[in-house]
Amino acid sequence: MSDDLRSPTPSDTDSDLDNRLKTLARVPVPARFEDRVLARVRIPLPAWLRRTSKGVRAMLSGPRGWMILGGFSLATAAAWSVTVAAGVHFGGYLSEGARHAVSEAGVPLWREVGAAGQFQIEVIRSSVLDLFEAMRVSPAVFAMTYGAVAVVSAAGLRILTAEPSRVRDTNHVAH
Amino acid sequence: MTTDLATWTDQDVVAHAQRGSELAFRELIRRYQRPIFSLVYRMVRDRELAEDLAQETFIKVLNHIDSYRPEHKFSSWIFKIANNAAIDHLRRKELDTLSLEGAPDAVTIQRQEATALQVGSRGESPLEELEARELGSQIENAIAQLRPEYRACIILRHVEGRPYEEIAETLGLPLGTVKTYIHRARAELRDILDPLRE
Repeated sequence: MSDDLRSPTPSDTDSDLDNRLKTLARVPVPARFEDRVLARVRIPLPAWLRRTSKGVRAMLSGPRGWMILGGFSLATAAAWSVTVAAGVHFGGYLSEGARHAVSEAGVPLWREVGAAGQFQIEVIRSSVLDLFEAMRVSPAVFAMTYGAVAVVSAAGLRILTAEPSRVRDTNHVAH
Repeated sequence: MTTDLATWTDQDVVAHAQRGSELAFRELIRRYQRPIFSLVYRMVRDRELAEDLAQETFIKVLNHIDSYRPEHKFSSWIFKIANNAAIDHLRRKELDTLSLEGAPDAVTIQRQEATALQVGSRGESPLEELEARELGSQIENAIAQLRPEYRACIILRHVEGRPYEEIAETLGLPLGTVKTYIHRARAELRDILDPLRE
């Protein structure tokens, strides 16, 4: 076959018809066609995320799925509790350390920023301590908070592993 | 591999799209929006409808990008879906226009008037004027008179410059049938255009 894709077959040679056919061109596409199409297309999640999601889904749908989900949510809640407790407990040391480091650097601007940051950390720390003091955090309150974090973690994991694709935000695209 | 997708092959761009790259999706649309729109527009000769059908084609293709098999040409796959969409529409339209009273499913007076066969002349809207300008040449009008199968063959061959083998794969026809269709289509075009030469 001829390499010239626009050329007719040898038996179809007709210069007048061929000249007319050569005038055929692609017609222009309506404006923003690309955006309108993309707004309605489901783009798959990146491969690594799909693989992870698939793996976790497989684990959760297995015979020990509920145990894994429960373990994950309790571990997540424990991690949050430890982080918050550590933040509250060591906030003073951390802010003092940061202030010291900034003053050692000897940069006036950083010193001001550091002082402002230290003040904010101190305010947050004392607020949390006041809150704990006022609430007299009981084992029941702690258990409820811990449980709520665990449930939210479990629900988040289920949602993250359930939907394997994303659809673009279409609000800005005129149809 | 660079991120300048314009230089990549279709196969590479599709593989990138399958990995979830929005840029790859955009590149596929950019590459094929004009050929697909041109094919569908020439098949249905209605700009608004052509845009709808072209959009449906891309949505179908891109939402099922994971099912694309690289042993086939991507262009054949997308042209096939676009052509099928246009042919399906023309078949439905043929059924609808069998009645001068309007489409069989037209239950209201407004719908009957909208779908009834137009026999008289009517004023042209700006959109219709644009369509007339774009598809108004003698060769375009002659192509419009061909059977849809012939029309698709002629457009794929002479506008898109596709090889016979790819047209056969796209239309799901034997290679010999494609050559016959193109030969007959050219003969019909000559019959239509010859009296207009004087």
